[in-house]
Amino acid sequence: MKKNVLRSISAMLMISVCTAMIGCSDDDEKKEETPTLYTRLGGIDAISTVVDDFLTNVVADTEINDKFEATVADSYRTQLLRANLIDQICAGAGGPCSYKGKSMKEAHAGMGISTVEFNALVGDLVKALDKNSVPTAEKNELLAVLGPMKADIVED
Amino acid sequence: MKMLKVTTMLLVAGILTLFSYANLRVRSEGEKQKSVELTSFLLTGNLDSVALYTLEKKIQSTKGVRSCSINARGKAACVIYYKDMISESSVASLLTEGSISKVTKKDLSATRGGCPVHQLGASFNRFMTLLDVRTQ
Ligand code: HEM
Repeated sequence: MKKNVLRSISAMLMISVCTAMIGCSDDDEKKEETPTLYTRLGGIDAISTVVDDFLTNVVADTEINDKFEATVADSYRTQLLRANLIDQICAGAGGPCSYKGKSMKEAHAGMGISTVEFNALVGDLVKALDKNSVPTAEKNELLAVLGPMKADIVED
Repeated sequence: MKMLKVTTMLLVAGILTLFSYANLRVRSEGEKQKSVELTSFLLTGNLDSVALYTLEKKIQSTKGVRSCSINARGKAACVIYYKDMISESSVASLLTEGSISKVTKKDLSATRGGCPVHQLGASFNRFMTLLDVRTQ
């Protein structure tokens, strides 16, 4: 009787260990199947290249560049904005970064940004993504991460 | 005399604390990137957008240049580059080509700080960067 109980306990233990192992390997496979957006974008170097192209597009864009004059006038301020944008995109794409900047509401408060200006800036980002041949799926995924921020940025 | 000693000690302790913070703080991936220079230019001339697209690509592939964007309609350009690899005047002369007859750096000297909150953040960042030996 005792032997039987022991046998069934060890059988149950074996089954649960096997199930756990199968479960784990299944998870790993799934992770390998779908790399994060960060990986698909090409990691931190690719993101910083996109951010630089995005920034030059914005500063050359006469529809919105007056809003960035104070930033461009101070190279440390430009540096800080660049670092924050890199971290924000990296973190939003599931990369190993933490965004240390202000919340979008706080960062854009009182700037009077309109929907037209917001769309112009998004257009500059799309141009930067296209310049770097980012595929449509990844481009849309990134825009879907940033799009909902509109409510905190636009004031019209 | 005792007062002077205490004040000096407090000052030294304060400076040491700031120096340690600047050098031991965990820098974000964005902060770890090599620092760049961004310059905004105004262009004069009869600008042809196809030629400018070719010029933009040519400048972009120049050593030391990270990014170049030329806006033919707005007659504006912006270049991001590494200061230790290429100078601002070299970047400006790269832009002076073909239909562009004159390139001037956009004068932002009259721009007053903008939003004070952003200015404060940038000043703190400037101070930490100066103290941080990792960024030298
Ligand atoms: C999805 C859209 C946008 C995103 C993701 C975004 C992101 C950011 C981030 C991360 C910062 C830095 C925050 C900090 O300093 O802690 C910032 C600052 C700023 N943004 Fe935006 N932004 C967006 C739209 C806009 C638009 C449409 C404009 C104006 C047309 C704008 C103008 C500015 C300005 C002027 C600053 C201050 C830069 C400085 O520190 O000097 N942003 N933004």
